[in-house]
Amino acid sequence: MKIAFFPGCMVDMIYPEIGIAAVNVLERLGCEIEMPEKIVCCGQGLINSGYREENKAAARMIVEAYDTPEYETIVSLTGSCMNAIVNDYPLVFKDEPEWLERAARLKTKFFEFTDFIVNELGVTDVGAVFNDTVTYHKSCHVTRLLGVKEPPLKLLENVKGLEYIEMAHADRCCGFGGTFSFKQPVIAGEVVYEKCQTIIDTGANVICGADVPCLMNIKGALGRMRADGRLDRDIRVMHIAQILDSRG
Amino acid sequence: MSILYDTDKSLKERVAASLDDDFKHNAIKTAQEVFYVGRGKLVAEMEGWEDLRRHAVEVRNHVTENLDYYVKKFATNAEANGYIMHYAPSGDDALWEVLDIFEEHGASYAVKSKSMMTEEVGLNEVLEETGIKITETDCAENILQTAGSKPSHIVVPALHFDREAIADIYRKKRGYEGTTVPEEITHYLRKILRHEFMEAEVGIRGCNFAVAETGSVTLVTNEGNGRMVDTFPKIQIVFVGIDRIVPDLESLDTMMALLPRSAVGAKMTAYFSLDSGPAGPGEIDGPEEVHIILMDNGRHTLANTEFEDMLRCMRCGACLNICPVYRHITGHGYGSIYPGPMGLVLTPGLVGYDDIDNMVFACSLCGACSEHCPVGIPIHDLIREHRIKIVEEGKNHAIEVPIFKALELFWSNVPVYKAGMVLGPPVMKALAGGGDALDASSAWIPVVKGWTSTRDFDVLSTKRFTEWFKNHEKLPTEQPKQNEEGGEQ
Amino acid sequence: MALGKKTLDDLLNPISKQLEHKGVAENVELPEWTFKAVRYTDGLSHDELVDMFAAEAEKVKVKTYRIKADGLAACIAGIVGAGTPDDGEACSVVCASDERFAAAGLYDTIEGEGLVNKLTIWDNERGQENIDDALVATYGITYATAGIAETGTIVQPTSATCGRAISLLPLVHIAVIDASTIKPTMLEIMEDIEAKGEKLPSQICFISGPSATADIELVRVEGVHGPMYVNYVIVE
Repeated sequence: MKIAFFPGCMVDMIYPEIGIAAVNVLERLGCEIEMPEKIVCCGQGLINSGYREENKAAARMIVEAYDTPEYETIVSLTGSCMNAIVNDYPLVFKDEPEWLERAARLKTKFFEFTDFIVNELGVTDVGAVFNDTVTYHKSCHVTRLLGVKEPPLKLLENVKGLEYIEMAHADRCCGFGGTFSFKQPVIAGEVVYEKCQTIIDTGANVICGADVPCLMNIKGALGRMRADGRLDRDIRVMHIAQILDSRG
Repeated sequence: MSILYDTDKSLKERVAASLDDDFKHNAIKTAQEVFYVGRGKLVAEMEGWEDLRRHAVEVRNHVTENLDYYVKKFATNAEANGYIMHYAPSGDDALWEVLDIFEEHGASYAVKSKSMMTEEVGLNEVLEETGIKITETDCAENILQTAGSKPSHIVVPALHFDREAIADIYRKKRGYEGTTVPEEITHYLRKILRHEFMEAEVGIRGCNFAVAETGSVTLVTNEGNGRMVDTFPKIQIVFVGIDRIVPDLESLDTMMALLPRSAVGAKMTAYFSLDSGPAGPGEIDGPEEVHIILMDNGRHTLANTEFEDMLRCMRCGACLNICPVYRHITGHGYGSIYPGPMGLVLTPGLVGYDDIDNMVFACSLCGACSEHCPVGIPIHDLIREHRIKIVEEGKNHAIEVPIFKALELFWSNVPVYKAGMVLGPPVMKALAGGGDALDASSAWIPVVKGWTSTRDFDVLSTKRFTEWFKNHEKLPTEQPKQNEEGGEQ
Repeated sequence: MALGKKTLDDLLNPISKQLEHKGVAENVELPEWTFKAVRYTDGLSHDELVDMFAAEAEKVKVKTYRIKADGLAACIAGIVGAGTPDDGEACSVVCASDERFAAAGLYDTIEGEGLVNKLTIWDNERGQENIDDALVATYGITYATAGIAETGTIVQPTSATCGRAISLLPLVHIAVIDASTIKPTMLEIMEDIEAKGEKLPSQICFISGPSATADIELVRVEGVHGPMYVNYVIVE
């Protein structure tokens, strides 16, 4: 199956290993992956901070790159960016009918990574082996705003050697919220520390998720908690793609 | 009090104060969990919940679209029921009407049942200034009034005091001699307040829903103080917001099926009264004279705008009970009598953007509020809409504009981005002392310091995914296992 | 400074303007609603509704008695004859004036057997005395007009013969209810009221259990401003 891939800018800038893992998984499943050259960022940090007008340039670039007849299926590795594209671009472009129409077309072609594997490819066992205890953060954008609830859990369920432990309030926000994290660091800190505590309480060695920004936030907080003694062991933070790419 | 309070403190200071008070924010966390679990159980067992919500949305929207008609219809039918109508386009109008009623009767003593509308206009302060005694009769409100404190939750407003503190307040102010057991304190309040209900000349109350068809007002309570206020004082004043109106009794039932479940996780409250006029012929109790203050105070400005969905709000507090921010900063963090997600939409909607500090940014846009709102208000979208309006109206902080302008450029221009990605990683690596993340020691770096004050920040990678992708060799296909339902491949 | 009294038009004009209406419409018909919710009482028989009513009432801390019509006086006499709930001391009772109570022999039973110190039958000729009696009464007895199965709620209108104080001031409220009047949800009650089209009483109170609060540390306490105990006597 031919697909276009949307990694999200954090994968490009900070976590290339997540993108690589996802490409591995998709290619093993027979996907022919293409990726446009001219992409940077969905720009959601702008509109979420009130800068709707300023979000237009980034949004146009994404639409321009992906809204072509060659791409019938686009797979997004990050729920948050995909949500921005499919749910927020209509607001960004509300006064630009032409772009609005293109954004609407894009919406029908976009799939979240785990949703794509389970519901489009029809695969729940990707042949992964991962011998450890894992908990999963049901991020707001993937779970609530895109409505992708079952697929990541189904995929984890079928990973050999993996013991899944559900955290309390798994669908509670990690406190990232884009620029919220920078503008309200004290509040964001409280929220993510509480999220981390629920992760720690599972006893799992690995926390995974399908939203890169949340993982960055959780990793940053776990790191700080480890440094100041609130956490006395290492907990690995992984994207679900990395677990699905694992062969034991 | 008016809508905003503690305005001499910044959002940051209020938040810090709330976080410092462990008892307070733990109490709110517990309340969230209790209400949330209760609500979840009831919703799960109710097959028709989603349809009920959708019906509530269509009913409320119909009223908003015809708000002038329904306000008039309610007013006309209420008057026909024998209510004395007072019209208050503004909060000040409402205050003048109330003062007139007291003056006309030479009254100087009132009991009040919890009403957000009276808080909104600062009624207590105004009455007290003119020498009128006004007693709050809801237990929590009475605690707050006696202590001189502000609500931290809209449903259980005095949660920030523990039993010792509450017992102490009554020992000092009212001569209470009992223990700190909640039951004993509550029964003490029953005793002292009962006397006040009987003595007061005026009862003041709010109204959860007003019924246009029948000209009725309603009151939802558990403690029974609303019924006492509604039964014994001979003069009664009812505050009704223009956004409280439902068309008829059937739609009232829909709202009542949603309200207690969403608010406190109960199917019904102990009391729900439907009042349709002053005491009838031969009735000994019940008010002889009832004045309705029908108040707008800025609500109509939400109609026919991006914010009109907010007019569906029934003040249940479900959004507070799920909000990940509210649970930490509590009602006091926001500095508005309308706190939490609904407050972030309503407060600027009513008071504008000039005095709200960074309030609308105290939200991660996680959307849990919108998912739980019984009347389907896209709350987090509306919070963001306020942010957009703030920027459009030039009320954002000048200092942040260059940062967002730089992001606009960086995120939409491939050459600039590429250049940044050449320069960025080594600089960050150096800042991180050769490590993989910026830790607490990077607090001096502008912008990033916000993040690193509470979390480590992973440095930019020297390897870029897009570069890897261009050069990588495709992996061979493996035969995957099909799931049972199958699917296209 | 007086702002001048505002009229209904002063309130309406800005609203109409905001809505871009030329003026307030003469009449607005309710639309055909698109959504109607399934209620979990749907499809239940009347007997099942009565069972649900009793079960839901118990959940909200109501003590329920299910009796035959001829057992009404004896049932209530048994309750009030036991005295105040905490110490069993003989007490006083305030009761709605209702032909059905008289016909069931309730007043005669309570007074004749000297079960209580005083029985007050609501009488508007006696004015404030009724309320004074209710203030010190341990039991208040009313006849509810309907019940709601979904929530274990009783429907209690106010009238000249049944004051608000009876179900509000005494320590214990005893509500008698005919099983035949139990409806699935509040919706049927509302539909009945609208179908009758009569002027509504000054108050209809929907009561679901004792007055309660959780305002101090979320600890539930019963008996705040209204009754501490509520009993339903369901006549089948």
